[in-house]
Amino acid sequence: MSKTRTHQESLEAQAQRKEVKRNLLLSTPALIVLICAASGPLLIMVVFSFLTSGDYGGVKWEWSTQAWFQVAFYRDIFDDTVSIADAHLSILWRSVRLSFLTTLTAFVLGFPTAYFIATRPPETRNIWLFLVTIPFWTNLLIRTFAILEIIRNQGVVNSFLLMLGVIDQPLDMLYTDIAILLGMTYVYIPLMILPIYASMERFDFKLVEAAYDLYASRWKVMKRVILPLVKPGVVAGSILVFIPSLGAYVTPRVLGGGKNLMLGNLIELQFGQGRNWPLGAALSLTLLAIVMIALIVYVRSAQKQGTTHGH
Amino acid sequence: MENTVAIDVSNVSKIFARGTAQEVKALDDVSVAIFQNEFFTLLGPSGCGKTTLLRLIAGFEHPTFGSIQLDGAEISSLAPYDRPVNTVFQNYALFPHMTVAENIGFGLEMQGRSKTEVETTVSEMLGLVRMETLRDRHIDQISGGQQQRVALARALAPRPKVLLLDEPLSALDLKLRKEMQVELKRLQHETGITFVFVTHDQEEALTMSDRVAVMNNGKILQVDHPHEIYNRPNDRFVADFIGDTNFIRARIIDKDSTRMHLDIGGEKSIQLPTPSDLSANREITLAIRPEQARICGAEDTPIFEGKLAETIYIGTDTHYQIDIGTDSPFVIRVQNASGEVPPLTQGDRVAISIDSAVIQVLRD
Ligand SMILES: Nc1ncnc2c1ncn2[C@@H]1O[C@H](COP(=O)(O)OP(=O)(O)OP(=O)(O)O)[C@@H](O)[C@H]1O
Ligand SMILES: [Mg+2]
Repeated sequence: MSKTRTHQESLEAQAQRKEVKRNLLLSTPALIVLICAASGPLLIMVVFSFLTSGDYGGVKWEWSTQAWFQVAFYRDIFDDTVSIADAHLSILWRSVRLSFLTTLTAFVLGFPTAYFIATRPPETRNIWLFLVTIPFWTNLLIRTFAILEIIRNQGVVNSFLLMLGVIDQPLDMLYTDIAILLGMTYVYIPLMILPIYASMERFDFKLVEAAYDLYASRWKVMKRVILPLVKPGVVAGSILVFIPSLGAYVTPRVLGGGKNLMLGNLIELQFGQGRNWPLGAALSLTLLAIVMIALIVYVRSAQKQGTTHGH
Repeated sequence: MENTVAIDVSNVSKIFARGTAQEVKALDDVSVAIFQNEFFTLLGPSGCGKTTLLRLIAGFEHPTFGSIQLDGAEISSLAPYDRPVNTVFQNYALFPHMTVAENIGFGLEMQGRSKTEVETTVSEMLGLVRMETLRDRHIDQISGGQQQRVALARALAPRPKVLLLDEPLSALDLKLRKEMQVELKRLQHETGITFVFVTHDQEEALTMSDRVAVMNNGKILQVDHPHEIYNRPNDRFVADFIGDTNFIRARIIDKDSTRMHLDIGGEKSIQLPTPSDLSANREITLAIRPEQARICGAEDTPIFEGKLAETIYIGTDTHYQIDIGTDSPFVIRVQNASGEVPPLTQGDRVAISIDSAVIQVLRD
């Protein structure tokens, strides 16, 4: 009896080992690409961030922590006093804040949209999904300029409001944080809608009836039944919106003018006009660190909510 | 059982996609009173409107016409969460992200009961459906039969006035189904809650119910106790749907106040007690259960004669199919243990006798 049992267990273990091996083999090409394409550049960035900047861009092969120092501090050229690099920190803060707000706005607008699509009859759902993806057909730059056209002082919105007499001065919308927020929400909202829709499509709407039947109000149904079950989609959507927002480059550049920079613009500046590649590399790695910390915190809290739910 | 009305459905119609090409009259002027404390069953073929009627009582749909009252108060416009009525769904619709105990406690929690009250009621319910040991399992970690019990416990926990069950046993295998039938009866007894049970299985309906409503095409055809439904069907569909029935066309030749004289074709005629509302010369249908007809012995007076077409042995019974000149053969069922199994061979002439008291007159 016990003998057959151990025999069985070892068979099971063998089967499992084989499967792991096979899966590993299958994923090898992808892993190689990932390692070369992600780790290689990353390694270069790490190395560059510890070098000295060249006079005309590029790097000099001299070890230095100057770049990392510059991320957060500023040394006056004349009297050598050290102060906090306000400019960097405010850009960092703006990036995090705007990305967070973009994610939030995309969720607030995207969740009901996904819900709406998922509750349409199956024949018409594809039409709605198709409409959601239409913005992807045009180039990001063109879409961003289209928004600029809409919100600038002589743009569509202002002209319309002026014509109606609601305002007598054009509203200054362009080159503000609001403009960037608007632009990024517009650009990234499909990335919120699609994963939430994917979760909702698998959601069994009978459960909503069951919850109503058990005296749950609309709000409770949303909070206790729908949200927990479509959470994977919400988590995925939030990550897909937050990460590119944090590194956004085109949108803040066009809609924020030169003055409302975000991290992406600051990094670009170091590799271009700033001619400070090491600082650019250090800033890039800072961005990476922020993304990773944000992800870990977010996923952890999402998991915790999942396991403690209802206890 | 005192017959206080719990649910009063009066003149309810439900029309889906009204005014469009796909218009469906799922319920057509349905009226029925369901008593407190009773096990009431809606029985009918697929698509006859059973689920629709249940959903109207639960509040997931609202009637196009008519009214639904619960304990004398109109409820047809209330939302599901405002009705003291709970549902056991066909596929259970248990919350997959919650444990067994959380599922059962959900309704109580939504009603704003205190934590301790939720705890004690959940434990009580787990005991009632004999699931104490599985309280912290997740829904995907228990079997179909166990899920069935959780769904029952979840719907019973808030102590609804009425429990609605939409084909709750149809997903279970036969053995489990029999077990759950007994279990459901027990639960209804112990809780004293009115059960409205939907099934398309006539045997299930007859064995479990206090009363049965037979539905077809959005209409309720007959509401009665199981033995009345079986022995006194008032409609051809009811007689046909429940059990096996021989139908014989007949014409009323003449009648007086107590008896009528019927022509049943082939120069044969019988006499039956007269229902008051039938006039002479009218066509009617006679319904006779196969076990209520006999193959004539010496002492009986035959009603029909025919030729034995086939004998079918099915263990407990033997079925004799007798060709009497109608479209389908007349079937007589004889219990093998009764010792009255006549030794007949195919083609033998057989005389059939039927006690006139068991002949059902159906007007069509
Ligand atoms: N939401 C709806 N829209 C349109 N027609 C519907 C809707 N719900 C039900 N029907 C139609 O109403 C009729 C009755 O349906 P119902 O679900 O009540 O039948 P049922 O008796 O429960 O059948 P089953 O035994 O197959 O479950 C059917 O013809 C069905 O197609
Ligand atoms: Mg149904």
